[in-house]
Amino acid sequence: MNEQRNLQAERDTYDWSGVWGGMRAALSMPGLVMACSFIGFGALINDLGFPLLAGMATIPLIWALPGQVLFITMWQAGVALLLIAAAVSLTAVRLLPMVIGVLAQVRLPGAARWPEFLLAYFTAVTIWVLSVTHLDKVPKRQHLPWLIGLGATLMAAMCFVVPVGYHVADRLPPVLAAGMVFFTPAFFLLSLLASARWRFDWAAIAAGVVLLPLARWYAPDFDLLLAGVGGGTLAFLLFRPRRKGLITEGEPHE
Amino acid sequence: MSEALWIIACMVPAGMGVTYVWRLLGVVAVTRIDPESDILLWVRAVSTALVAALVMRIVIAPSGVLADIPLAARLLAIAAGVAVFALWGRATQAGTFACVIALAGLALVLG
Repeated sequence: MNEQRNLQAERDTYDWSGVWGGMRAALSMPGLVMACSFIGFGALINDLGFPLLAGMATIPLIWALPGQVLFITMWQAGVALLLIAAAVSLTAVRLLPMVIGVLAQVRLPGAARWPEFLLAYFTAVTIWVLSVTHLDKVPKRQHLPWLIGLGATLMAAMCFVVPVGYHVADRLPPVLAAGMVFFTPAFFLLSLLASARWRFDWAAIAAGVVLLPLARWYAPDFDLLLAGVGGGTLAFLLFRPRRKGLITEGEPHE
Repeated sequence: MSEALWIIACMVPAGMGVTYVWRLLGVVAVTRIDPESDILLWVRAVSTALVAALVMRIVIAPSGVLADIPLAARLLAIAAGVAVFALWGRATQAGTFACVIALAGLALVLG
């Protein structure tokens, strides 16, 4: 047992060669799908008459598409800055469980902590999904660097994609423009389905989808929070895994 | 130009600060929480339901160009993507593109 612990301690440094694998992954399919969403975001900036430079600044500053869309929409509607901050922060609450979920999978308990703050900065829905679906073939010590390489590359690439959407938007037929905007919800939903492992995951997806229209009817201003917190809690209570160890057994890379 | 810089100056506290604080709390919390604890499973369930609800909101109550597409087309396009995903061995990308292509096709047929 002690020998095992010593071996574990030796392994507790990150292997930064993993960054390159993450960068390569960013430039393949996940990057393409994300680029389609951000072309839609560029089109939206144009649609609202928001300055392009400030729209691009939302990428490194906020880095979560729902918050970015909210900020530019509310700013253009002339909403008070304090209210914008409150709304953006509410959509960002879901980053807390995502960061915990991602880090719990990839962090090395004995290693330096600063890379975790850096990875948290890049963490958003896409990173969360890829950490569940793409890390199986990556060695454990490369997991965190891999995701940082992926996040940094995606962030840089989206800064080039948004101006393209901004300038192309006016020239696209409305149906194609709508298709571009539709990439985001489609990718979010299918990513959820792809990363679902346990019964409560499926139940949470179903609950969120079913409860949203009801919550919208009941309390339009709090629809997301009601459906999210209510649906998630309901799914958890009804379909909670009963004993410990279930998660570890369920992880393919453990 | 100066307008953009003013917006960016406002965005640092009102966009970046209020967003990163949740990421920061995640980094702090991860060492104190057992990854198999009930609280983490609950948090996972809530975050999953929140994103699912966000998808549903964009589909049933969109703004901008999406709002001009009939609701039936938006709902059917999502169903088509989920069907492709399920039949194609859980292929996320194939399902995503199927959603988008189905939306454009249905918009032309129904619109």
